[in-house]
Amino acid sequence: MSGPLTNRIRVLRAERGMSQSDLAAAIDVSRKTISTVEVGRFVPSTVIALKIARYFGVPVEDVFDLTDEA
Amino acid sequence: MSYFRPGTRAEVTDRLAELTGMAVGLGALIYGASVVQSFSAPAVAMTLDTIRMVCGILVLAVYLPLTIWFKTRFSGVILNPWKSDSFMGAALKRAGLSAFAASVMFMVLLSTLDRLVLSRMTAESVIDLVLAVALLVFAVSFLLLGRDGGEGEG
Repeated sequence: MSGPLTNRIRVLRAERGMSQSDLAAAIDVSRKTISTVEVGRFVPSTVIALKIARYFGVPVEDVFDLTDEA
Repeated sequence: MSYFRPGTRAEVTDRLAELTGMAVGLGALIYGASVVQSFSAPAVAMTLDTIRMVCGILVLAVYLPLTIWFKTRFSGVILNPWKSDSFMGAALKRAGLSAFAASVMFMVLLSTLDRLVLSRMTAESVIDLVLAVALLVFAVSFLLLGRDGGEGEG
């Protein structure tokens, strides 16, 4: 499920002192979903990507980025 | 938050997906034992019968009550792992796709082998065999796809 999609979720979490479980509970997904998205193993749905961006209060492009190989 | 007392709907949905995978694995054992049973000696057949019974009891006495308990954990909402956007929901759907593809390929293989296999088996055994292959591929795929490749809590 990994792909050319990188993300800054770990950084954004760290800036706010949040755990994976905190973020998971905040956007109503499981901790496993957050952890696999963070390491790029799972490409999230558009809905989950938008929920994450909205929660952090940033545009979705600031959370997810396509690498050059895409 | 323990395994049997997940705190959020998303965690409960993941548990339901895991339970589904386990129950399908037990189903594969039941049908697989049934196929082997039709070719085995009476003593072995009795053991296989016991295995089938134990698996059946596990599905009825453990899987079903746990599934109902998890599904009704949050009143007013029926949780369905197949409709979930989560990592485990995706693993479930991909495992289903793998099982479908494997069972079709297996049936094509059986038909191209002409009468080599089919003439030696009853229709009941052939159906059990195809079901065993499909359920086994589903359970193994789900186990592999659903492994947590992420990093722990951090």
